[in-house]
Amino acid sequence: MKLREKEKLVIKRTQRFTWALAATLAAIALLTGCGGAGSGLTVPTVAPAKVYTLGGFTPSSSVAPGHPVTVSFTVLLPSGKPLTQYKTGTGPHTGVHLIIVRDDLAYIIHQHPPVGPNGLLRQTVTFPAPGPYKVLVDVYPNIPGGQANFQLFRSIDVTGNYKPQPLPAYKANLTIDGYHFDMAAHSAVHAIQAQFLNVEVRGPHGEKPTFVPWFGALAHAIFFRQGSLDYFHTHICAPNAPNCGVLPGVASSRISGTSTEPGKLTIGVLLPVPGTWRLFLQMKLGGRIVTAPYTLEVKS
Amino acid sequence: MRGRTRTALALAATAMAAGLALPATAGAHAYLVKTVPAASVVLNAPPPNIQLTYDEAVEPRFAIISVTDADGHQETTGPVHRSPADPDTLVVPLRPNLSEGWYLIYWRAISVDGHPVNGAFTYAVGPNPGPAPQFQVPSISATATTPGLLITRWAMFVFVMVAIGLFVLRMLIARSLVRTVDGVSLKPLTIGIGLAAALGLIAIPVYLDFSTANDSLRSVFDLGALVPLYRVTAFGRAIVDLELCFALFSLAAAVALWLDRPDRERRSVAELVASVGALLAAAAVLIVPGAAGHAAQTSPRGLTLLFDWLHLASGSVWLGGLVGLLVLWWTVPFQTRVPALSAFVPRFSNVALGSVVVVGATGIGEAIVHMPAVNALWETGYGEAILVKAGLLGVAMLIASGNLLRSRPRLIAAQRQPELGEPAARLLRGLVSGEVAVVIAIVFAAAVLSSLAPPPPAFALENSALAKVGPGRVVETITHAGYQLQVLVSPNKAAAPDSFALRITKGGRPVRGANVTLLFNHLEMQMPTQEYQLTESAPGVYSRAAPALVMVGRWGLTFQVTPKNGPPFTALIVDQANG
Repeated sequence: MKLREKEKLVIKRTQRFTWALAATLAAIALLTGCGGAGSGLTVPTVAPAKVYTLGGFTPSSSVAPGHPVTVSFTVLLPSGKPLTQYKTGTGPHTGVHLIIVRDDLAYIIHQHPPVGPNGLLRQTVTFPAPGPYKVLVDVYPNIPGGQANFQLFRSIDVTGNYKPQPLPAYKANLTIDGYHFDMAAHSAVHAIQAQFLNVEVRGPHGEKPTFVPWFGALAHAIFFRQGSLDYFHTHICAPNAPNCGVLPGVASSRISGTSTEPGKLTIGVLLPVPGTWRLFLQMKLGGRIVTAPYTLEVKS
Repeated sequence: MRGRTRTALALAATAMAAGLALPATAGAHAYLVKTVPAASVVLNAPPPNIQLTYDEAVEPRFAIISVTDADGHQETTGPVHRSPADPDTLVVPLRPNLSEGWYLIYWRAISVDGHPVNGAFTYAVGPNPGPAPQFQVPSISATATTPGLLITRWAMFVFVMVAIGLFVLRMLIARSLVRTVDGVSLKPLTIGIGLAAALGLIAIPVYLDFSTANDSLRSVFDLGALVPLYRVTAFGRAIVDLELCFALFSLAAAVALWLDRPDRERRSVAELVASVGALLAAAAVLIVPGAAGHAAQTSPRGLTLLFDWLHLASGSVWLGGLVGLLVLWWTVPFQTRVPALSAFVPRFSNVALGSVVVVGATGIGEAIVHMPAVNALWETGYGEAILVKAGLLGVAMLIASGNLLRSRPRLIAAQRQPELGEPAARLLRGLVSGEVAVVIAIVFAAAVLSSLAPPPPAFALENSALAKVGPGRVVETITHAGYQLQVLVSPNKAAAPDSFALRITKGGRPVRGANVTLLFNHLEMQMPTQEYQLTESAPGVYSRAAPALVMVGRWGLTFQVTPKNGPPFTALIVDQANG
């Protein structure tokens, strides 16, 4: 008899417990079930990355045309420390290339500032005319396992009345500093398609100049795209150094040109995007740097 | 008529239990096999979207693909969706006309087996993206072992095992007590089964809710969003199957208990059918955890599944039996306690002993199958959980031996010397309470163990490594097979493009023109081996940049070198990569 009562008590308690549990669950379901809207997952917040920067860049404000200006900066690593180790040697891919173009691609300045203490780079530059200029710092660091080459950019404003000049149309024959340049007829240039362009160079008296190495190559082909100012460059190599421009891991260096005889240049072209590109063909002639600019329409 | 209805009901329950006995099984961890854009690539034009292809159809509703620029701005414009062309590919749309520069892709997905996986890589929009920045890869929950998940998983196992074990005890071991000892009632056991079954039926969906919330990074109370996701992964479906099988067990068990007349020695046909149905459903319930977990992914699969099932079944009989013993101790009237225990304990202790032997043997069997090397036992979390579990099992067996050697013989002797009975019964209660506590702790260790990924076969590689390096930049020189080998890894960060190089010299001279391949194996997670051909970038220096260290942890880097003149050789180093 006693046992029966005890059992009943247990059963009663169990029933109460079950009801309480069911009520709690129902309350939770009511409170939460109606509120949920099934959208996508929230993406995490990503902290800003540590980047390479140009530190202590001067000039910090606009400059006047026709006067020498000191352009100076250090390349700062993502750690904030200055980059002091650069590739050295005679090849084209060493040190720092400072390339400055006016936004309309009417002017180009190409210099090689020496690496000073604490990685400081200084170069005296004279801007020829007013307008906005793009400063391209083409860096070849010596970081084991790091990137072999990268570019950093800045702008400098040169005071005065800027009259942008439209790019001249493609012209095969150019005369620069007394030298004659003649680009051979070629089929249309397409983006992401390698092509070779042949240029004949003659001296003021019709002689075929012998090209001499300048920064590791017989000639440099520097390309800038109109508007976006995308940059790309290739090298024209001596026959005994056919791959002078090829740099492992750098896509832009996969193509090189050659010069097998005096007065003749074969330029490798492999441009990444279609558009109007300005080719600045640079070489050392008679002890001076001569730049022959060509306009190329690159089709898709 | 009534008998027929009962029989039909019981038959239906049996058939349903049999139908559910083999739930769908799951695959291995998801592994990223292809990305568009490719890792570390410089594109000439911004991509319209990001496409990630896995080796299995991961669920877009559980996936995150974050695309950020160097400043950390999010560039995605919509939710992740499945590619219409390929079910294994996830797609996320991007803001049009992304500017030049580098972008970080961070992704997190849930494997079909319920384990979160994540990774990161970069790409650049060019043509002049500038130097690759050092991105800070975010870290979000990529674990199945949060406290909430472990506790709910543990509660689920305990209630399910107790319910099944109590049922087995009630129907097969304790039933005859009513006839042999006066004044004994089995109702408390029946109530215990009902209670455990009710709590189990609640605990399974609660665990599923916690697990789905963890996978989809939502609050566990966001039921409106979570419920539609319950059946999305194979793991979720397996837990739903578990609930169904367990509900079926509860139903069949209720029918069997309702029909049972323990005062009669013979059982009715209807009761037998219902009991068999309940036991089949219980068998189905106990196969689900193995089929949804690691047991189903480890070869030989049939054997590991059988081990897992036997392990759980014998564990259930043991745990449920101990709980039942305590229930009887407390509910049997004082004057019948000693006679009841004297009759019951000898019967039960044989079953318990058998269960413990099976638990131990199958546990050792599973450990052998899952452990690629002995040192994995103390060098991996999975191995440590096995050791803890084995240690607790040892403690439980020690306590059990106290019962076997002291309480049991004294209770048997009490049939002739009644004064021995009461102290023996008290000793039994104390020891069994302790044993129940330890077994419940063992179940917790099992919940931890089954939440962790077992060490992969590649773990055994570690023992043949020539050097152990990292974290951080690696410059390690080793002498092997007559060559000086210098291994360079920079920056040696997980989920980032790293550069790998091997400088080979012999007698101080660079070894040129060799064929060098580099193989990557993660030592802690099961992943396919990645293989890269290194190119000679300088005399005797073979290098390659690759985002191969897709996860934090220890990696086996195997260099396969075939020199131009000389026999080929391999060099293995173990590298720790941090995030």
